[in-house]
Amino acid sequence: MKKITWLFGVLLFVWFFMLFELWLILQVILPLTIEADGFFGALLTGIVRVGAGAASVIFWLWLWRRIQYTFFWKMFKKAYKERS
Amino acid sequence: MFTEFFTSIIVFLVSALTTLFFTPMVADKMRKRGMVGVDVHKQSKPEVPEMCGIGILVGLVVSILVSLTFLQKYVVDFLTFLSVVLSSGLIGAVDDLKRLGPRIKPLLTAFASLPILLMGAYDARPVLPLVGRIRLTVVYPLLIPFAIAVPSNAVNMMDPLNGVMSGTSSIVVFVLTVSAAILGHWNAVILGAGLLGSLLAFYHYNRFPSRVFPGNVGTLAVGSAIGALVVIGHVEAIGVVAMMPHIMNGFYFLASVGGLYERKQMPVRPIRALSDGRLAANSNPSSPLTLTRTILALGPMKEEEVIRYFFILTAFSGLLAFLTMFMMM
Repeated sequence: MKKITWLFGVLLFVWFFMLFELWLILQVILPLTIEADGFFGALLTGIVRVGAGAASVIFWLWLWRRIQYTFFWKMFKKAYKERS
Repeated sequence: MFTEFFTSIIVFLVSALTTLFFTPMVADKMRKRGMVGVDVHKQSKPEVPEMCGIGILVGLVVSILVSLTFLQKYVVDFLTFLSVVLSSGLIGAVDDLKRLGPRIKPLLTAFASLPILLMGAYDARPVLPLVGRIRLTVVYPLLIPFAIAVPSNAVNMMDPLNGVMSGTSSIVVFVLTVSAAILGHWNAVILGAGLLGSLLAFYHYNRFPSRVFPGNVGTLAVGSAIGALVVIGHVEAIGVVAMMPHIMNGFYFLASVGGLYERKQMPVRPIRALSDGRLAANSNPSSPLTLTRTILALGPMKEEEVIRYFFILTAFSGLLAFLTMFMMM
């Protein structure tokens, strides 16, 4: 059990960040408005919302991948070096 | 509520017994027709009958039809559910027989969501943790094809070792069914009970050392059944969290390989079988980073040990799913 603690950690990170992303997008990003009138203002607001939402999700996925790769190779080198 | 609870128990028993009875028959037929796959992780390389997931489908269909004799008020939901599962099962069967491309399969499974859209068997106001109920009148229907295609292909990819698909899916369905019962979504409880009965019965034959393989007919049908259960039963957030190991497995694979490929198309395998019968992670940096390889980063292990870790991880995400449910209440 102790051996896979790091995988529990990754799961917890993914879960926690998923909830945070949900809150961020629905409570912070969606209410964002750009103070400009008419069609241009609405367009700009839409672009900012979609851009910010997409950027936050891409950051989350990037971070997840990075953590996974770092831990994988760390554990792999440790486990297989001990055996060789 | 008593009728629904009673129906769930009946559905569970009928689906389990039907699958227990039919799966060996399907296995015999498949073996006679030469539909066998080699269990590559065993030293003796035994041949195991493929496409036995048909047993799961039979159990599910019979049990849901039986439930309609007790309860008619969910007839639209139940028939929609069966349409989605049978369409995905059909896609899986075609894939087993003719090999669809790795890009065609997700597209076709997305089309399997059409019955949900056509029958309107969804509520576009999902309840989300920390946020509460939100209205997604336009966006929700657009997400439904993903809600079927993603779990069906994720379950399809989560079939690397004996019993992993049926075992981990059983845990996910158990979590969804109990959550639906706590939330009072009885249509989902009955569907979940049917699916759980079939999966547990199938696991009896599919567990290590496997006597049957589900084939794409089984994996795609089970995945789409989970997706349909989540949408029809209105347990979206719980479903996503419960399926995190499946999603992780798919995400790692896509992120490391950079696209959709069939298992047989991979030039480098993620794991290798050692001469002493244990499994080890492949050290080649270009081999796909699947969840099996991730677990094997801890060192060479016996197949049973890796399978146990899959179950522990899925059970842990099940606990997180329960926590998510309480955050929704």
